Formats: sequence, C-alpha cells, structure tokens
Amino acid sequence: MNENHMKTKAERFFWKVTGYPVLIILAFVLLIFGIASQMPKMKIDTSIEAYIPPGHHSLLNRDKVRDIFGLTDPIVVAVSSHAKDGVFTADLLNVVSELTENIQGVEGVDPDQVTSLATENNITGTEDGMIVEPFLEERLNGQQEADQVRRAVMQFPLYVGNLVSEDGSTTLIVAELLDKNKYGPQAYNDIKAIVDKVTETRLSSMGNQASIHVAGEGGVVAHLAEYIDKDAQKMGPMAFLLIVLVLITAYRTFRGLYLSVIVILGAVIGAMGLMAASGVPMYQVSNVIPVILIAISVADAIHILGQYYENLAANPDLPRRDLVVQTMGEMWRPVTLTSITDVFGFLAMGFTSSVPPLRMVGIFSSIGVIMALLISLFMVPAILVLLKPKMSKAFRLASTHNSVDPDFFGRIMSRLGGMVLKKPKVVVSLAALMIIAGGIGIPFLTVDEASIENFNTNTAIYKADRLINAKMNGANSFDIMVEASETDGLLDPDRLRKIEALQKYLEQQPQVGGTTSIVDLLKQMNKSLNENNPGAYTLPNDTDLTAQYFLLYSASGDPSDFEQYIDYDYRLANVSINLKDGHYSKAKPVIEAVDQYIENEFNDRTIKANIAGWMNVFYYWVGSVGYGHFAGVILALILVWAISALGFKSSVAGLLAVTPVFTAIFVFYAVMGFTGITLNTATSMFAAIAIGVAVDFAVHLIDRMIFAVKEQKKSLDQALEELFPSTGRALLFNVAAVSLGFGSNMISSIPPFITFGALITTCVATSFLGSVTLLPALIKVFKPKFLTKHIEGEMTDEQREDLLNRMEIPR
Amino acid sequence: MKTIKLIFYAGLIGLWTTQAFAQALPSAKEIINKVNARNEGPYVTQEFTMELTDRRGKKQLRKTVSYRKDYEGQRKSVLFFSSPTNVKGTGFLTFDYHDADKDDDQWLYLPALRKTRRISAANRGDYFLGTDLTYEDIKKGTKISREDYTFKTLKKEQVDGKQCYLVEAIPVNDKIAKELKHSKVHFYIDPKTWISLKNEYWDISGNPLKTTEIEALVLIDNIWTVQKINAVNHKTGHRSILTFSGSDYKTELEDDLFVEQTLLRGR
Repeated sequence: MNENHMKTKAERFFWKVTGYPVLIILAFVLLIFGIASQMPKMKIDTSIEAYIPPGHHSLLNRDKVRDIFGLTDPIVVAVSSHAKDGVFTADLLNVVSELTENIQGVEGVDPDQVTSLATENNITGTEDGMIVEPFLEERLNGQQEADQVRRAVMQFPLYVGNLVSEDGSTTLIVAELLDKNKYGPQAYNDIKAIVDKVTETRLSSMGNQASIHVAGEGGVVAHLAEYIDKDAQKMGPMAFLLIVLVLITAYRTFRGLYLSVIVILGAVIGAMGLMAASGVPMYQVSNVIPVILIAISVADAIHILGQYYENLAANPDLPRRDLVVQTMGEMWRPVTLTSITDVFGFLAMGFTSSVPPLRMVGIFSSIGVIMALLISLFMVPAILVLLKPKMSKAFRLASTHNSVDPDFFGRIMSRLGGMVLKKPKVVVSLAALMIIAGGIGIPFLTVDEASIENFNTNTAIYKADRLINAKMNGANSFDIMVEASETDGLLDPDRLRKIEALQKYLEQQPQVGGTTSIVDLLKQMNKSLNENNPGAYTLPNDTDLTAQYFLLYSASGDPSDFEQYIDYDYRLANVSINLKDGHYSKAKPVIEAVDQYIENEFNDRTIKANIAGWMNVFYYWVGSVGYGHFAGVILALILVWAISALGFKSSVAGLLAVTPVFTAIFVFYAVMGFTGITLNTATSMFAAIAIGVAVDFAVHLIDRMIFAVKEQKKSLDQALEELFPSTGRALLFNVAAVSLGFGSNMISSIPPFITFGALITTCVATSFLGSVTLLPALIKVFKPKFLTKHIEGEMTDEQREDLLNRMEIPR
Repeated sequence: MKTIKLIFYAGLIGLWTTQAFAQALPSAKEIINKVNARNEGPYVTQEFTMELTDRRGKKQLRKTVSYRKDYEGQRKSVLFFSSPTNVKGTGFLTFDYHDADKDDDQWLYLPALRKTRRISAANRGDYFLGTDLTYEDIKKGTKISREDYTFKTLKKEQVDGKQCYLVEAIPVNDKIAKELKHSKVHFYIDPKTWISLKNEYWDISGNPLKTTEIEALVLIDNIWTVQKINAVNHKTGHRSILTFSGSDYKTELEDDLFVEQTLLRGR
C-alpha cells in the first residue's frame, strides 16, 4: 500500500504525518520542554478576594469601607473554659495577660493594635468624674480580684459579645498585623506556637476545662496555602498512579503505558506551564486541573491504542505504517469530536461563571485537552510508526473469524449488551422515570456555602469558628456605611438615633449576634459622665455635647481609636454587624432585609447608607454560583449537542449523544435535592464538566455504529451486538480511568473538593452506564434514520412509503 | 607571621581611631544635662493650635489658649478651646507632679454638660488630646527624662543644615518601655540651643513608630521657643502639626488661674 491506495482524505493525511516521525516527535518534545520551563514562574493566590471579579461593586464597597475606617483582617485567639467561673479566674486571666504580651512581641503583629482584656481600658463614672483604667493592670491574685474584673467588663456593653462572651466562658485576643500579605502566614504560625506552648505549660495544670483556639482571616489564608501544597502533592500523583494501573490492565504492554503517559504529561504540562507563563496564579480550585486532565487525556490514547491492537489482531501481516494510518483514519474523528466536547464543557462552565478562578479552570483545562488532542493526532502515530507492531496480550487473535475474541472485560460488556438488547423498552422507561425524578428534585436544590466549610471539622480553625459563633457575637461580619450629607453631620442627635434604630432592627434579625457603632461608644461615655447611672446609657441630646465627648475621649485615647467607627469629618460612620453563622443561606435573608430597611429609612438628602463588608461580597459571589451553574449546564448541553450533530451530520445523532448524560445529571439533581447536598463554588463545576466528558462515551458508541453499518455493511442488530465487546470494552477502561482520576479529588484536604470529586466521578460513571444501556436501547427501539439509511434492505417507514407511492400500488 | 603582625597593627590603628572619635563626641550624660539645664521661664502664655490629619488626609483643626506655670515639685497647665465652635469653652486643667510615682491630676470642663469632670490620670505613654505626642512628650517639653533611659552618643549628624549630636536612648527596663510605649529613641540634639530638633521612636517590638521634628525655633525674651512641631506616626499614618504663637514669658500668671472653678468661667 502507498499513498495512492489510501481510501480517504484522512488516511492520506496520516500517511503524510507518518512520513516524518522523527521530526514530529522532536518538535513536540521541544514544545513540551519549552512550556515546562515556564513552570517555576507559577504563583499561588489563596485569597478569597480572588473569587470575585475585580471591580465588582460589592468588592469595591468593601475595600472602600476598609480603607475609610482602617479595617483589617486580624488573627483572633479565643481563650475559653467551661468551668463555673469561665475565664474569670485569676489563673486564666493571667494567662490572657501573658498571651497578650507574647503576641505583642510576634514579628509582624502591631503591638499597639492588640486588643484583649489586658490592653483595654475600663471607663467608669464616679461622683465627680470619670476613671479610665485597664481591666487587667497587674497579675491577679485570688478569685475576688477576678470577680471584680468580671463585674467591670459586664457593665461595658460594647465589650460584651465582642471581647468577652455574655456567659463569661470565653474571651478574645485580637491581633492586627502591620502588613497582612507580608506577615500573615508566618505570624499565624508564630501565634499558634505561642498558644501551643501556653496550653502545654499553663493549661494542663488547670484540668481539661480550659482551651485556647486560633482563628481569623490570617489563619484561613495560612491554612489554605498549606492545603493547596498538600493537595498538589497527593492528588495529581494519586490520579496518575491509578490510571497507570488501569492502563496496565487494559493493554498489558509497556508501549500502551508510556504512550498514554506521554499524552497525559503533555496535557498537564501544557495547561500548567501556559498558566504559569501567562501569570495566572494557582487558586485553591486550580488543583483540580491536573487531576481532570490526567483523567480526560488518557481517553484519547485508550481509544487509539485499543483500535490499533484490534486492527493488528484482525490483520497481523499489515505493514506497520499501514496499520497506524488505518487506525488513525478510523479514530481521528471520535477523538477530535470528544476533545471538542470536553473543551465545550469546560468553556461553558468557565464563561457562564462570574467567579474568576472557575473561569481559569475552564480555560486552562481546555488548553490541556487541546494539547492532548494534538499529541494524540501527531506524536502518538509518529511514535507508533517507529515501533514494530507487537500484539497485546489483552487482544488475542481469534483463529476463525475476522473479529476479536473478547477477553474478560469484553465478555462482561457482551453480557450487559445481551440484557439491554433483550429488553430495550424497559431501559428507556427507566431512564424516563429518572428524568422525572430529577425534575421533581430540582426545586429542592439549594445553593449554599460557608468559608469555614473549607476546613475539616476537626481542625483548630473550625473549632475556633464554632466557639466564636456559639459564645461571642459571631465570626462572620459585614458593615453598613452611613453617610451624612455634610461635615459634622453625624454629630446631629437625630441622625445618630437613626443609626441606633438601624442597629436595633439588625439585632432583631436571626443569626445577628451583635452590632457595633459609634453610637455604643457615645452611650457608654454618656453613662460614665452621669455617675455611671445605667439609665444614662443613651445618646447625648445635643450636637455640641457629642463633639465635646469626642474631645473628652481623646484626653486618653489614641488618635486613631475611633477610626473604625467614624471619620475625621464626622460625616461617615461604620456599623459593623456580626453573624453567628457564615453560611450564604443564613446571611442572605439578613442582607436582603437590611437592604430593604436602608431603602426605606436611609434615602433622604441628609443621610444615606450602603451595605459593605465580607459577608456582602460572599452574598453576591455565592448567589452568582447558582446562576452560573445552570447557565453552564444549559450552554454545555447546547454546545455538545451542536458539535455532535455537526460531527455526525445528524441532529438526531446529536440528541442521542446528549441523552445519557442529560439523564445522569437529572439523576444527580434528584439525589442532591433529596439528600441536601448543596451547590457551591467547587461542586457547581461538576455538571458542565461532566457533560463535556461523559458525552464522549456516547460519541464513541455512535461513531462505531455508523462505521459498522456504513463501512462494514453490518445490520443494525449485528452492529449493536458487536458494539459491546469492542467499543464497550474500550469505554470501560475509559470510564475506569476518568472515574479514578476524578475520584482522586476525594483525597483532597478541602471538604468541598471531596464532594466535587464524588459528584463528578459518580456522574461520569452514571453517564457511562446510561451510554452503554440507554443509547443502544434507544437505537434498538427507534431505529434512527442516520443509521438505517446506510443499511440495504432495511427501510425506514418514510422510505417504504415513498417507494410504495412511486410504485402506485393501491393500498 | 607577617599576616599576624599586620592584623595586630590594623587592630591597633582601629582601636586608636575609635578612641579618637569617641573623644571627639561629648558624653551623652553631658549632652542630656545641658538639654535639661535649658531655661524655659517660670510661666508662659501661648496660643496653641493642633492640626490633626488622619491616614486619608482628613483634617481636624483645634485652637486653644494655653497657660503654664511651674511650682515646687509640680507644673500646672490649663488650656481653653476657642475653635471649632462645637467645643468652644471646653477647658482642660492638668497638674503634673515631678514625683514619677504620684499620678497626675486632670479636670475637663464640658460647656454643653455645664460640668467639670475629674479624669483619672492618663498613662505617660497615652496620646495627648488626639495628637501624636504623648502626655510624657508634652510634660517634658524639650527636656529629656534622665531616669527613664540609658544614653549613648552615637555620632554627629546634620538636621536641617545644623550639625547635631545623635543620642540613642533605651528605656532602662521593660516596665518603663511599656509605660512609655517605645523601646528606643534617637534624639538629634543641636548644641547651639541644646534642643533636640528631631526625635525618632521605635515601638516595643522594634518597629518604626513615629518621628517628631521641630520646625521653627525662635528666641523670645531670651528663651529658645518652639513654634512648630511636626509629628507623624509611621504605623497609623496619622500626623499632627502643633503650633505655638504669641508666646509671652513676661505676663505673670495668677495662681487662681489653675483651679477647677476657673474652668467653668472660661477664659
């Protein structure tokens, strides 16, 4: 055979490709090494800000308020005890003093911005004046002194819930950093070490009742960076290892293994290297890219090699170049088509999402898939043509007829096929039921997420969060910035009372642990200046008096003490609200209610208000995840249907290709809806990616069916029967590789990734089952025209009618 | 052998030069004594203005008239706010006792409350009326506490074109450092006036804290008088400009100016 003997354009193309094997291999090796050299440029971004499109109004609002009021993300240490006196024992309060001093000495911590019972002043009124003195000046001796401190703090409403819990069981030490980005993780670790040491040396002698926890944004970032490293070190290698095992089982040849590995490495290096080169950092979710690519790219190699060994078994004397050209001629279309559907799935997920890291996952996974496709179409045939054809033990030649004698896996698939083809209508009805169940489940699907859910329940940070939510005002906050129309406007008692009413309204909302504003400070001062009379815990009635209170406070406070509450012009004030639960579902009603309240009460010309802060950002972010998910699924289905229809030149074939994965996703909506698994940033990725990947099974099956009836002139039933041991077998390994690969996400240290891994693995596996059962059943039941038109003697109803009409035979 | 000899001579030369240099600088003790011997006059009347600027450039301007009189073992001072209007008439009376163990006394009169309130003593390291200077800075004025620090003359250095002695001061112990809220000060002392033209402070963990600079120094009634102090906190970005004008060392101040009842009357 030579070029002129080639039947198709594709075969002529691959004849040319296999003519320059060394050149092609060299070019690809250079390309892969070139991209790999960019890898050291990779940066890591664990910030949660990364998940919001830069410039989003909620983010701008938050940053503006943080800037105006100098708000930072501190590291928080919680000291807690469930003994009778809580933390108010001389021993534990002395531990608070000791911890505070040690934390002030940590590099990166601003010693002047550490807040605890040991640093804060008590302001009390006396007959003739006011006393400002620290709650804890010296080390305490005896319970009596501790009781005194407790009485003092509990009379200071501003501190109750913020600095100490109402039940006295918990108190916080809040440390602000000089530069969060520079010192964050290191300062967190240093503070953690101090806490561990104090726990060991001081708490052990007090029995098991007391404990110390470290929390706060600084801790979250430090932990996530560590998790990303850990995940990268185990998830990728795990996926790789599992797939190597699948490949060995599938081919039992060294060649099958290393060719697949080349495709995998090329895809992963292509995606990650180009990511590094383009300056896009690794986000927390980016760890799924290599895992996804390992799982997906191996499919190309599995199908090409499967066909190669099948062809070799059928025709052992075929020259090697002809063997390669024949294999590629048959496989280029399904391999290209499935790669395009994968890319469409990723891009649909990426471009409907407004979460930037998800977009990047979509884009760079697509790049990896394209890289795998190029290697499969050029480098793999180039290598194969250099190798002497050698039979795989897994594909033994059948002596009599020209087909492959099925091995164990082939036989499993044959048996499954037998069952499906015997009762196709049952299979179709079952699928219809599943779609209906999914339809019922969809309204029960919920979008929900909480930052803390990124951590295992047994981590220190999770425990600290739970403690602060249970005992204090809550670890999750947002802000409301109140803006007066003119300078000194917020000295006006009427407008201050509006803020007071807003706080009162907020505190009635569920999950709101407490609110803090300048109003609380002014009330405390009013009480102190009125002989500590509890009835005087009210706002001053006079603009001048308010101004004089501020001056009075400055007699002993720091110049920037009020910065977090009110600006220098007395025009902007910040109300900070703590929530006892960081879940989107819990914050949503509060934020929406407050939004409405502000709309009604703060929209005249003299005063305005705006919601800002972290939970508000989170509210928009998670809200967009739900929308993005469904948009992504719909777009992915349309794109995948369109490309399959185009590839098979039949819209019905496209529909058939999409049906199994469509059914599988509906099954998942039903499961998620009824079990309460929520859609979140990580799990929202599963459906669109699953569509792109899982449709591949159907594409391979349909392609094989067309090939069988068109080229091999087989009958529909015969083609269906032979589908199972050949293509079905290859798909079995394909799904094993993809499932195990995706499943490697389940060993992640971050719980949502475990859920994501479980969802996508089972979704792909379910789609596989749907493809090998529902698809043949549908073909058997409906006998689609795009297949039957190639079969002589088998006519569709229209054809028969057409023929009868032309024969003019009376019916 | 040769190298050893060389090192020996080099060492000798090194020793000689450091000694020679040290001799060229007066001892820190000498300098601080001269600083503290400076005449400040027994009493003074001044218009004292505080211009405070926050991190974002927002300003607050407060004008006062201030009076100071020194007594045996204590210094009394009182200031009355004249602007802004919403604090006009507020009076602030302070008795500083030289005895470090005795807490200072402070009273504040709030006109809107029509009451004088006694305020418990501020700590030495607390900030004074929202400025970047501490009570200790205000109390000491241009003098430097001898008991709080150990001093060392480091070198000569120019400040505003004037050759100054750079004296390093380290609090004698951690307790004092915590009270003062700093762990180190560099004083740049001008030998012509024996006033420190620039002070640099480091916080208790050694981070740069603040810098204060004297910008205008004039001779009034034969007393070197500070007319403008510029202070900036490097951590908070907060700045203060304190100006003193119309300094009058001649008009004798009555004792009954420095009593609680006077606050009510205003001045």
